[in-house]
Amino acid sequence: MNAVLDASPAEVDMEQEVLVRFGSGGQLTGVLSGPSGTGPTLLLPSAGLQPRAGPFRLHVLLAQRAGGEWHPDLPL
Amino acid sequence: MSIGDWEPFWLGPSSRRLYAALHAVPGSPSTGVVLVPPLLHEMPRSRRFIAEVARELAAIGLPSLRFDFHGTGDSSGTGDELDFASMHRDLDLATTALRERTSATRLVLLAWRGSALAVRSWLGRGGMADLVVLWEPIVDGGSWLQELVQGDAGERARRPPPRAGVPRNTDRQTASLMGFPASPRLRGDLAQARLDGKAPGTAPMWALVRAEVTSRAGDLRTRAATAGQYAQFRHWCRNGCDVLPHAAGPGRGEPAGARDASGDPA
Repeated sequence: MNAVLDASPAEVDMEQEVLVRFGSGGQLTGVLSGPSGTGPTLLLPSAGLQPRAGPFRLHVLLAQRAGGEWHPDLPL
Repeated sequence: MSIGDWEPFWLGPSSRRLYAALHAVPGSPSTGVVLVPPLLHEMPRSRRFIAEVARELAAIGLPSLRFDFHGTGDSSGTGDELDFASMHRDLDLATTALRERTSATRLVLLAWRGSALAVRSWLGRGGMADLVVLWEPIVDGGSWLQELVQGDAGERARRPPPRAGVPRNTDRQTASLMGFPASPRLRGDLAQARLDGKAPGTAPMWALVRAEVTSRAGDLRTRAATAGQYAQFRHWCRNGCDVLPHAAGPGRGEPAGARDASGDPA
């Protein structure tokens, strides 16, 4: 939870894809997708050595379909 | 292990954004590096390693930019939109971004595996670089494609069949390869791509290969003969590149030293 509290946008995209850095020294990075404040947020942490995008890009594809997502990960 | 100071950003228009990360360096370096990731299943497997390479390059004063091709990684799009034409556009964006975001006027392209084929194609279409380094490049795209098809079939055979009612694409022309979409366009691009003859453009071209490629050439020649990769690689190197064998696998060492590309490995 501290990670979310410390999060700060790194760059905002026109289609509301926000790169967010958080954690100690901003060494962790996530992508916040979809319109803000419109409902629950889905948190998709990376699993083990899998990159932020998830296995076979599962997290990215889920974000595209769900319209809102937050998938933080190690700084890869 | 930290990968040092770096900054993620979106690259390109919002309708077609690419994930990119710049490992900047202080001062006004004249040379910068664009790291071009490998393709398909090799991309996620090497992601951390490439980030660490970027960190190491930045540590010696070379600003380094890594990115995900359209339809891969954190970039927008779907995997079936990936082909050489899309990669050409992405290489244009990435190289331009490096020049715009740093003081670098000399551009080095560092491309892994199958991306070497796309980079060569990009150079042939007028892409500009001052040095091209190919890390364990795929030399014959057609042979590699067959390896992928066979590998994919092997992976599927080892797993249980899909549940009843769950469709599975078994069309060899449109099904995924190693779990990642591979469009007929991409397959066609790969099938026709080879690193033969002299590379287009004027940039010197180096290849990084594992030390055992040169130190245990007999084994490698035997193993690679099926795919024809090794012989073609040596032919290509005699005509168009230098070879720098590196001492170990990812993250384990510096290049062991230069070797004359025409010299027969011991």
